[in-house]
Amino acid sequence: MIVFESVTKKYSANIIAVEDITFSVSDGEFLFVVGPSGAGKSTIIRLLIREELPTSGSIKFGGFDIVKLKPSGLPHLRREIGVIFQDFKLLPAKTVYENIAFAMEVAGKASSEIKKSVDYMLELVDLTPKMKSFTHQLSGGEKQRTAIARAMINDPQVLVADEPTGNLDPSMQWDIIQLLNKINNWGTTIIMATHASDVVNSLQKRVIAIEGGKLVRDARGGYSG
Amino acid sequence: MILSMQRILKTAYQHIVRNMKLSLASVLIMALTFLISSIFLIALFGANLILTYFEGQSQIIVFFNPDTVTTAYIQQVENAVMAENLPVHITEISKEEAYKIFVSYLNQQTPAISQSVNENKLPPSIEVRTTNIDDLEKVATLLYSYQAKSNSIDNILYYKNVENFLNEFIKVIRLAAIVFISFLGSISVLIVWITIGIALNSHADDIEVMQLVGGTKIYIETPYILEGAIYGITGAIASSVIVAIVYEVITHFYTSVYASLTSYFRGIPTPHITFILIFLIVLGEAVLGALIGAIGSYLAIRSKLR
Repeated sequence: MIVFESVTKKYSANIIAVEDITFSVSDGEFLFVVGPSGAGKSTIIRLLIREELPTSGSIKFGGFDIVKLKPSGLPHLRREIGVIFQDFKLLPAKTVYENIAFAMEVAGKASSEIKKSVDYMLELVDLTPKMKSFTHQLSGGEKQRTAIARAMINDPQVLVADEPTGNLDPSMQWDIIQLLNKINNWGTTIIMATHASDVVNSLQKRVIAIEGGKLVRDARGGYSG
Repeated sequence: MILSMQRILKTAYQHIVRNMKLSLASVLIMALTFLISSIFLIALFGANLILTYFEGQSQIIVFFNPDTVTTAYIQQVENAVMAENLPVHITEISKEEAYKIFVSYLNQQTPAISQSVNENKLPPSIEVRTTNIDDLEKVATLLYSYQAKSNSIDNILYYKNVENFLNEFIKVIRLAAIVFISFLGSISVLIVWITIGIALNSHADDIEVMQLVGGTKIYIETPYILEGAIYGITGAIASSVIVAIVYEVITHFYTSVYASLTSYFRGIPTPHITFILIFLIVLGEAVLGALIGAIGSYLAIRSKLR
């Protein structure tokens, strides 16, 4: 369960990223966060993974009080929340296999466990034939699937996706959405920030709409209600 | 734990290899720092040896009037010096002993003259030595006061200027060593800071991803701290090797230079250089190098990581 309660993030008196946002996300839910560019979608994602702290309000996730979380607790939070980005954030000097394994190495997992999990995850995202490829040898869709595999490798409770289809052509977009839907069906909570209305309309999941930093709609359905 | 250590070591190794030119520059700067520091330390150590030797040799010689002085008066002066409770050593030289020393000296130089020397004309004397130059000053003051009150003291030999010069010389060397070593140490920290900072910039994406996937602070920071420490250790060992090579070259290939140097400082005890002493010096420098490198790296990481 994720709970945002009266969350406000101000960068200055005039620059308000989000204002008095309150919503909750149940375990296993698929939530779209929609809105135009600059509405505050990415800020919500950054607040959730504690890349930023709110100016006021509280954010809770499972046993974590994200606002009060000590820096030493941050790695534990980040292992429970997988993240994927529009620009993939893959490491160009590493192969597909190494990029995925990296997340487990960081978590201090044993080499045998890493190999087993990465092999399984590669199969899941259909990248086994590309496991030795470097990121510049991949298509946009393959890069995003690698990023999803890396985000999922530590078996997080939540997968957060910030515009994951923003850099992809329509056919690849759909691949990624299907993959995210599949992951959600296995029980992982998905929070996806997007302004791709066709994607939101096709899935008919819960949508919260942000405009000018304020939550203007929270309902199941399409992009515009 | 062992697994994490292996990965940290592997990452540190990769950083060094992938930034080979920067790594080399850092090691050379560290080596230069330690080399100059070593030269200063050797100079300081040598100067201390010389000072200790001269402090041991420092003395005041009091020549008494052979016509008027009595044994009782000499004893009185000695007692007064001893009453100061300073670590002094007094050697009394009687007229007869002075005669023997003088004749022996003349026999070596001009034997013909030694026959004409009269024993009674040579003054008895006392030599006062201290282990500390500053104490000698107090003794000199006391003896001058005795000389002022009595005509039994003919002359007091006290080379105050020489002692002062030695003292000042050592102080300057000590100060210069401290200033230079601190200065060079600071430069080394800065160089490692910059080097690691550049390496951190080139690894900014890796670090961001590590943070996003839940890398602990230790996992992220330790390879960089280790990298700096390795630069320091390598630099320190390289400098020790250079010093050892220079020492070997001077003592074995330029024997005439070494011989003239040692004859110039004849009488000054040379330290006994053992394998354990060399090992301890190299170890000490390596530890110091590791510390400087690690501090430089830590500062770089602190300024780059949120």
